[in-house]
Order: sequence, then C-alpha cells, then structure tokens
Amino acid sequence: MSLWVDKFRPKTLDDLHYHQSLSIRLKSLAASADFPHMLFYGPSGAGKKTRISCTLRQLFGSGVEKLKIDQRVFISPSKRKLEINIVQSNFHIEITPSEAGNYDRVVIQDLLKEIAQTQQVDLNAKHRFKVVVINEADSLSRDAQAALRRTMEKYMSNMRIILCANSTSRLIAPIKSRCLLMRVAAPNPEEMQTVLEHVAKKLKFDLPEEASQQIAEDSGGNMRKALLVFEALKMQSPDLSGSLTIAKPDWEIYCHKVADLIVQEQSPARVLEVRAKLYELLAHCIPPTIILKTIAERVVERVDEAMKADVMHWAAFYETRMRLGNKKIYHLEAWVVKVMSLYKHFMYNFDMADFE
Amino acid sequence: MRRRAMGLWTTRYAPQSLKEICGNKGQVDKLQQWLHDWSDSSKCGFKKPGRDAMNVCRAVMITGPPGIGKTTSAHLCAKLEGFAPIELDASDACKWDEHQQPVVRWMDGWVETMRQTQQESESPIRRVSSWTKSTACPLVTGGVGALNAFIKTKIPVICIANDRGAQKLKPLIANTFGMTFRRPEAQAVRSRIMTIAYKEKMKIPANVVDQLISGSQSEIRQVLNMLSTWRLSSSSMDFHEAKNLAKINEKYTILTPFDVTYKILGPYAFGPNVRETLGDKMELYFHDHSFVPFLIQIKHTENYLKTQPVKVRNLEGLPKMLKQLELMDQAASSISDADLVDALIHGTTLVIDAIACGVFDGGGYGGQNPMTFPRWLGQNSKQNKLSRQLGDVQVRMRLKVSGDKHEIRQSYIHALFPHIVKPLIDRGAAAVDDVIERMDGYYLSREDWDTVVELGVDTQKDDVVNKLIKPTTKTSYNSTDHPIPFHKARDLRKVPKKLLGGPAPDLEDVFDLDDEVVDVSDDEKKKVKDEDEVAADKLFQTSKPKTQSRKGKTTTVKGKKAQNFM
Repeated sequence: MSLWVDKFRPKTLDDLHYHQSLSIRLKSLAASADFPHMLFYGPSGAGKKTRISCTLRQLFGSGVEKLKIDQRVFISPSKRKLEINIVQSNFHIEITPSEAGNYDRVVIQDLLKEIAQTQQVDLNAKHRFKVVVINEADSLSRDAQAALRRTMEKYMSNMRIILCANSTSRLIAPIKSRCLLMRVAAPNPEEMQTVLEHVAKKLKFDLPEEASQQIAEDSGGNMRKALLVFEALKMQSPDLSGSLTIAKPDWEIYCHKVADLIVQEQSPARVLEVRAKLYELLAHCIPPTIILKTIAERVVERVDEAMKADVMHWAAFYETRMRLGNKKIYHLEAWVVKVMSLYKHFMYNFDMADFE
Repeated sequence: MRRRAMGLWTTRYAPQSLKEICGNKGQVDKLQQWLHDWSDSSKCGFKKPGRDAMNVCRAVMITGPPGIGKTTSAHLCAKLEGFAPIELDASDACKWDEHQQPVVRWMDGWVETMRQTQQESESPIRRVSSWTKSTACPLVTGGVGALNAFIKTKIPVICIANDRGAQKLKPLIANTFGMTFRRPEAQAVRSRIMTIAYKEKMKIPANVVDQLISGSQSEIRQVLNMLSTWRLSSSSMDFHEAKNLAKINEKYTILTPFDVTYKILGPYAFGPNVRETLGDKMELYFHDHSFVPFLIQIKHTENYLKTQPVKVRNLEGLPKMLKQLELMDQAASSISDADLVDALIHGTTLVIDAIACGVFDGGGYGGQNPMTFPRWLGQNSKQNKLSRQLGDVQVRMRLKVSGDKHEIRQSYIHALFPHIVKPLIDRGAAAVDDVIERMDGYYLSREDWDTVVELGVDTQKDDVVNKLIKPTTKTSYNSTDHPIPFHKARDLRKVPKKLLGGPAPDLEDVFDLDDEVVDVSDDEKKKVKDEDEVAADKLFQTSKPKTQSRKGKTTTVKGKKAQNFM
C-alpha cells in the first residue's frame, strides 16, 4: 500500500503526461545505437527521476524495474566507515555520492571502475553498456567532478552516465560539455491539472475543477507535492467540494512563526529566540536555503511595500554567502539581524514623519 | 645534611614538614588524616566515613598541574604516618609494550612482591604505600584494570595524575577518592622562594621573584631549577633578567582549546593596557589550529548578542535601540564575512575574528559571560545524526519513491504523518495494523518510525507526539513479520574496502588536467594515424609526478599567453 504519487508513477515514456517533445527525443535517443551521457536538471518534483527510469526502461525493457539495494562499506583513510547504498538492476546502477561526504571522489572512482571493467553478461541485453545514474550531482565536490571527466571518456564503451541535478550552476563546465543536457521544467498548472485528473480517473472519482486548480497553484510546480496534497485532501473531505484548506507541512508553519517573530519585535533577545528556532530547523534536516526562502517570502508578505525589495535583496545576498561558507547559521542570522535593523529604521522614520 | 647539600635545589629544599608545603594546605591535611586512619578503616572494612568522608575509600587520586607538590606532599604524608613509600610510574610500563598483557603481568608481579614484603614485615606500622603516576603517558585500559585490582589489596594507594578528566582514568575515579591540587598563589610561593634564595645567598627582590613565578605559572620546581642554574653565574637578578629567564624556560604546554578561547576572549584582551602583542595572540591560535578558530567563531556568534556595546551606553530610548540594531547588524555581517574567509583559507579566521571582535566591542567585552559549551557543536552533531537516520529512511523507501533525502523530509514525512502517526494518536492500538501495513508498503521499520517522529518540528515535535501515544502500541510491531528491502552491510559482516585516498588534487592539479583534456580534444582530428602517440600518452601517465608538474607549469604559461592574445 503506497501513496498515490508512487502508485501512479508513469512507467514508460508513452505514459508521461507533459513535456511530450522531451519524451519523443528521449525515445529516439534510446532507439539509436549511440546513446550519450546525459544530464537531467530541473526543480524538484518536475519529473526528472521518472523520466530517467522511463528512459532506462525504453533502453533495456522491463528488466530495469527489478531493483535491489546493495550496501557497500568503505574505510576512509581517516579510518571512518562509510556506508554507501547502491540501487541496482541488471542493467543500471544508481548512486548518491553525497553519502560519502568528503570522500565522494574516491568512492565514485572505485565504484565506476568496477562497473566499467565488467562487461554485460546477459547476452539478451539490448545494449552492451550499463548505465550509471548519479543522484544529487550538484552536491558532487569539485574533486569528484574533476575525476569524473576522465572516467566519462575512458569507459565510454562499457558505461553511460546519467546525472541528475537540480541546477547546473554547481557543475563544472567540462562535465556539462560531456553530457547531453536535458532540462525538465516544472509543469505548468494546466499540465498538473491533467495529471491530477488522470489520477482521479484511475481511482474512479470526480475531481472538481476548483479543487484541482487550487492544488496546482499551491504546489508551485512540484508535481510530487501536488499529488501528496491531493491525497491528503481526499482523506480530509472525500467529496473535495466547498472551501478546501491545504494543510501546510510542519516545517513550513514553523518557518512562518519565525518570520512573524522577526516582524513583531526587533531586539537582541528576539534574535536569540529566532536563532534557537533556526537551529531547530537546521537540526531537523531542513536545508538552509529552503529555510531562508520560506521565511523571506513570509516576511515580504507582512512588511510595507517599500521594504519588500530590500528584504529579498538581502535574502539573495546571504543565500549566496551561505553556499560559499561553512556554517549556515551565521548567514541566516546575519540576514535576520539585517532585516530587523532595516525594519526598525523604516518604522522609526515612518513614525517621525507621522509626528511632524 | 651533607648529602642533601650535594643534591639539586629541588631535593635540597624539598619540604621537610607539612608547614613548608606551599598551598593546598587543606588537601594535604586531609591526605595525612586519611593515611593515619587507614589501618583502622581497613579493619572495619572501609565502612566508617570519618571526618572528611574519606575513610570509605581504599585509595586516593591526586590530580593537578605539574610541579605544584603533589608527589612531595604524598611522600611527606606517608613518611609522617610511618609508611615507606614505593613509587611506581605507569608510563614505564607503557614504554615496554603497547599491548595490555605485559602491563597487567607487570602489575601482577608487583602485587606478588607487595604481598611478600607485607608478610616479611610483621609489624603492622611498617606498611608500604605505593604511588602510581599516570602522567602524560596514559595507562592502558588493562593497566587501569590491574591497578584497580591492586587497590583492593592491603596497601594504601595514592594515584597521581595530571588530568582528572582523562577518559582512561574513568574506572579509577569510581574506586578512589578524588583530590584536586591547585596552583598555589604567587604570595605563598614567593615567601618560600625568597627564603631559599636567602639561604643560597642570592639577592633577589620580591617583584623579580613574582615575575619568575608568573612566568612559570606557579611551578615551584621550575622556579627552583631556574634559580639554581642562574646561581652558577651570578648571585643577583634584576627584573628584565628574570623576565628573559622565564621566557627562555617557558614550557610549551598545549593549552586546551577552551583555555585558549578564554585567554583570547577574557577580560581586557583588547584593552588599552595589554602587554601581549597581536603576535602573541596569534601564537595562541597554534595550540590547536583546527579547533580554536572554530571555537572562537562560535563563541562570538553566540555571545555578541548578550553584551552591550560601549557605543550605545550614552544613548537612551529609541536612538539607542536603533544604534544597537545597527551595531548588531555590523557584527553579524562581519561574522558572516569571517565564515567566508574560513571557507577559503582555513586559519586566518582567528585574526580576523579577533580583530572583528575588538572593533565591535571596543574592549567592552568585560568577560562577564561565563564560558559555556558552545551550542553549535551540539546542534551540529544532532543534525548529522538525524541526517544519517533520514538517509536510512530514504534508502528503504527508495524502491518505491524517487525523491532524495530532502524531498522525503519536506514532502513525504508530512504526507505520511496522517497515515502512520496520526492513527496511533487518535485510535490507539486499534490502528496498529493499518499503520504497519502502510509502513510495510514503504519498507519502513520500527526505527524508521522513530526517525519520522524525531524529525518533526513545532506541533509534530517528537516529545509532543510521543506523549500522545501509549508505549504499548509501539511494541506490537515486532510481533509480526515485515519485508526488508535489503540487508545492512553491518548485518552481513561485510569486510570494508579500503579506499586508497591519495592526496586530493589541489587546484593547480585540476588546472593541469584541464589543459591536458583540451589538448586531447584538439588532437582528436589527427587521431587516426598515430598509435605511437597513444603509447607516449601511456608513458606520460606512468611518468613521475615531477615531470607532470613541470608540464603543468608550461601549460599554465601557455594558458596565460592564450589569455593575453584574447
């Protein structure tokens, strides 16, 4: 018993509902003898992974769906044990290098060499090569990326690499130039609505137009989120009519609370309070970028028109710094203090003008 | 007396009575009393606590920094109470072999001899008291065990160590009475040193002695040694000579990161009348170059909000508020700067941090803030732990789900909550079957359920949720069978593979490789004819790094030229 989003995931390229031109291209690529290295990129919930697995199926047939997980253990030079999880079928292998932390370069080299040096044993296989899917490719360290370049060329006869990333900005140019870039854009609301209707049809119930519209708008182009919300709503009110309130995830509500704290009061004590909350969010595995984005959006909603641009400007400023730096909390806090200071000054000037 | 006159000053003027011991008077008295009562307490099986509650312990452990009279007072007390001290150095045992076995055997041998001596010496007064010194070289675990067994014998044991907090001493601490010796105050030492100097016919003013004492951090042994060597050439000493002497004899002890932090952030570290130069402060950083800057950075970040900047002291009301926010903003952004610098060049942070701090507080730091353990470390380790657990959950769900870790956290946990946690809150034990079915669908185990709950914040925080669910409903998971997506390597006892982690390619190397690749692609057109080149290429790969780096240099020059042309 799984959730709808996983139950109704398209299995073949023909089943996909949007980005038809992309599907056609993928199909013809899979049919040609010369399948390239590929880089899928786009926001999360757009359907990158789905497209990758569909492409793999197109390449090798239903055999790729027989997945198994294998855990490998490595010992790093500093005697730390690294457990790397590998998802694989007979035809492909999927790795998440961020599990290896600082040692991603050596781990990837080791794994790729092993795959590249073994030939496909299955004589009925449609292709001689195996496919390596690298998840979260944008979290690859520079070293690992540099090491990957040579491997991509050297083992071309036995192996193809499919990278999957949210954005290409963290990938070095040589990697990008060795891949066929596949942008999977977020679906627009209409496309999302067709998917939602498709799911409703499969489950044999009626989906009111307003409900699907509301879900599509709320999820901001994230198909996964839309489907999960859809299911939650269906559980709440089975007929999906009337005014629907979409429950926000726990962390989002928490972020909003932080934003409210910032707007309500500006003092050192308040900063401390906010810091405690930020720590809490970070410790519970919410990525700092998401935190900053959610809080900033909420703050912008609540402040005066004249301040909105500034708040966003500084959010962007500290977001970059966060990516460059090591300790995310400092930059988050710097932004919080900046906004507080701005807000207070703004209010102060405003007050004065009023008095005069 | 004559023999004593030949020895070192430290032995010549070793305290002969309790009065002569500098500092730690109370502790020494306690020690003596304990030794005095030892035979009585032994007879009654160490049941009566006595005046200092010490008599329930068979052994005492004295801890404290070197050279402040731990050994001396132990010897003296033993002698005064009629024991013949035997000194044992644990570090001797360690030198022999790193394995535990010999140490234990060595200890056993000792215990044997002790017993024999005991039998030989019939008179109950002439007991033996033994010292075990576990100084810089720590006892091996087996050694501590053996020592523990040794403590159970009929000999009073006084253990002496420098660092009470050492992990290896843990088993000993439980069995012994802990006694901490502190560095004596300068005055207590001064009079003693003055007396000795007078006896040696040296003319040394009090302030000079003070300088020597503070230079050696109240280490009496070191002061005496310094004086005795000085006496060979001269019989008087002035202030500057003392300062230089102390400087020469300075011990390069490694301070703990916390000490260093205290020194740097302590009262008036950046005040107008500080003797330490910026250079001195920077030297502090090298005591632990990886941790100190980090700690300082955290300290600043966590403390800057609690201090009141000097610049706002004269302001009142709203302007004060605004100014303070402005200053906070500056401080926060300079901390943010420091983090960026840290990411680029690890190590310069301290200087920048320290200076940033100085600029910000202008000496108003005042040291009123107690040094607390930084929260960042705790939060960070919690984050790592949860992130690892989340990784486990993601891998299990992976067979059904396409998302990565972050997606699981941000979307799935929220979506799963009404299915696997909410029913347990609402319906209790009746919902268990449904919940288990749902969890099996995603191959989630009982631990993963805990993780899902632990990751919640706000109203879904783990302690809030766990309070609402009866513990009995949770235990029923183990009574049924569940699908497993894979076996953990740990369960299969897989032998870990060693990674040959050579030094990571530095930036120059990367550049080097870059160029190489460009070359290859340029050459691609005429690839057909030259197989020799491939051979040459192979040779080139196996050649020594020396030539490679030379090539790298030439290519960088080329690269520069190319840039110029463009």
